[in-house]
Amino acid sequence: MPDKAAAVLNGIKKQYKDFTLGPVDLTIPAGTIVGLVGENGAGKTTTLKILTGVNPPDSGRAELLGGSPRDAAVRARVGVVFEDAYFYEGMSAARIGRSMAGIFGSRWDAKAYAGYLNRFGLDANKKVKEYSRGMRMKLSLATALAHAPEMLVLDEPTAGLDPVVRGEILDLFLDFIQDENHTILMSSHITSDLEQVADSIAYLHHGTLLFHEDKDTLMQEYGLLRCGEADLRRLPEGMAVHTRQSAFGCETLVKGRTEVLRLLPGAVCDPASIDDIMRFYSGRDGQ
Amino acid sequence: MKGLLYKDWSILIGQYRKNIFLVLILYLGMAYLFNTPFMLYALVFMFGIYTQSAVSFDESSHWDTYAHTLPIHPAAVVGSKYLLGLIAIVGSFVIGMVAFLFFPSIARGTMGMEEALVGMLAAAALSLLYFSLSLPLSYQFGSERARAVVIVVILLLLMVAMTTTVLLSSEQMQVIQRFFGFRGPAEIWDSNLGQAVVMDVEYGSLTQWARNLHFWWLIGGCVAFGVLLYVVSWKVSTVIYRHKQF
Repeated sequence: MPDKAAAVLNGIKKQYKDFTLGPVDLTIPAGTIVGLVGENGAGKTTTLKILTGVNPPDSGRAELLGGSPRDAAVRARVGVVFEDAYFYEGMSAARIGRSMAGIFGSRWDAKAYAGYLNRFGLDANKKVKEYSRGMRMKLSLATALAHAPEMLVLDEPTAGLDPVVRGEILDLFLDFIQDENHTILMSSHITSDLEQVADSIAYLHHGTLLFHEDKDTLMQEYGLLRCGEADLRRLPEGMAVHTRQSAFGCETLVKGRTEVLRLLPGAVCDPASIDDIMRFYSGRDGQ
Repeated sequence: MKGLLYKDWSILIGQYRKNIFLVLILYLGMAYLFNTPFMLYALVFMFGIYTQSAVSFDESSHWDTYAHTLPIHPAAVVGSKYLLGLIAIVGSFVIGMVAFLFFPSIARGTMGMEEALVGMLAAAALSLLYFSLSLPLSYQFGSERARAVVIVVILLLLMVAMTTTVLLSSEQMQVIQRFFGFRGPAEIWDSNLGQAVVMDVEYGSLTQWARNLHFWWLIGGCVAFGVLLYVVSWKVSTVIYRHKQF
C-alpha cells in the first residue's frame, strides 16, 4: 500500500444510546480504493459521517486530506455520496447543477457535470423522482465528481442496482482511481463489487474494526477448511477463527491458509471470500 | 449562500408555483371584492409560510446530512432560510402596498395609504416574530413538531399580554393608551368656559392615532424588535444546527 494517507481515523469513538463505535484506528492510503464492509448496524455509515464532517466524534481525531473534516476548504476537495441524503427529489439535475455551482463556486465544472449526465444517459430536465434507483445513484456520482475531488467517500454506492449499472459504476471508479492522487473509500454490502475493485478491505464488526488488510493478502491469508474435528484439533490455537457444523461435516474459517495446508496436507482449504470472512466472524461473535 | 438560496427557491417554485399563483389571485380578489384590507395583510404572512416549507423539504430528503459534506458553513445553511423568509416578507409587502394603490377604500378616500402602511408593517412584524420562533424550533425538534410548539408559544405570549392588561389598573391602561395616541387627552381647555373640561375619548381610527408621534414610535419599535429578534433567532438556529447530530 502507498505510504501517503488520504484520511486517518485515530482512536475514533462515538457513543449512541444503543450503539458504540470504536475506538477505530483506520488509515486510508492515497491512490487506493478501500472497501468498508460490515453487517447492518456495524458502524459503517457512522464512520463515514465522522470522516466527512457530518458528525463529530466523541473522542479521537479524524483527518481528511491533511486537514480537518470540519474545514469547508477540505470538504471542497472531497466528493460524497450517502445512500439516502441528497437534494429534494422534486429538483431536476439541471437545477441541482446550478445550485452546486453556487455552492462550489469556481471549483464546479459545469461542462464536466453535463459530460457525466450525458455519459450516464440522464435527462437534465427530468426531476430526480422520475429517475430509477440506478439513475439516481449515477446523478449523485455526477454531482460528487463535477468539482474534481481528490477523494470519493461513498456509502453503499451499488446497493439495489442491477449488474449492468453496477458494472458501469465500478468502471467509473476504476477510471477515477487512474490518477494516483485520487482515493476512494466505499462501504458496501456487495462484497463481490469490492473484490473486483478494492485494493484493501476494512471490516467493521459491532462497532469495532476487526482488520484493514490488503485485499489480495486477505484472500490468501484466510481459507475455508473442510476437515474432521480430529484434524482441526491439530491446528495451533488462534488459527481457526470459527467452525460451523453441518450435516456434511465441519467448515472452519482459518487464518494462515498456507500454514494450514502445510500442517494438514490432505485437507481441503479453499481461499475464503469476503462474504465468508464476514459470515464466520459474525457467527463466532453470535455464539 | 447563492447556491443554497437557488436550491430553496427552485424547490418552492417547482412545488408551489400554481399554489402561490392561486393564493395571490384569491387573496387579491377577496381583498378587492369584499373591500377587506385584512386579506392583503394576510398575504405577507402566507407568503412567509411557504419559506417555512423549505425546512420540511430538507428534512424529507435528509439534505442537512448531505449539506454537512459540502464546503458550506452551518451559518450559511441556516442563513439562507432566514434570507429567503426575509425576501418573501419584503416581496409580499411590496406586492401588498402596490395592491393598496388600487384598493376600493383608498380610491374612495375612506382609507388612507398611511393606514395601509401601518397594517402591512404590523403583518411584517408578526411574520418576523413567527419565523423567529418557528425556525429555531424546527431545527431543534423538526418542522412538524415545531408547528405545534410555535402555536403553544404564541398562545403563551398572548396570555402574558392579556394578564398584563388585567394586572394594570384602568388608570394605568389609560396612561399607556394616551401615550401612544389610542386615547385623547384627559381634559382640554375650553376657551368659552375659561376652564379645563374632561375630554376622555378613546380613539378608534388610525387617522387619529397617527397624529401622535409616539404611535409611530410603537410601530417602528415593533418592526425594529421583529428584525432584532430575527437576527437573534438566526444566531440561535446556527448554534442548534452546528450541534445537531445527523
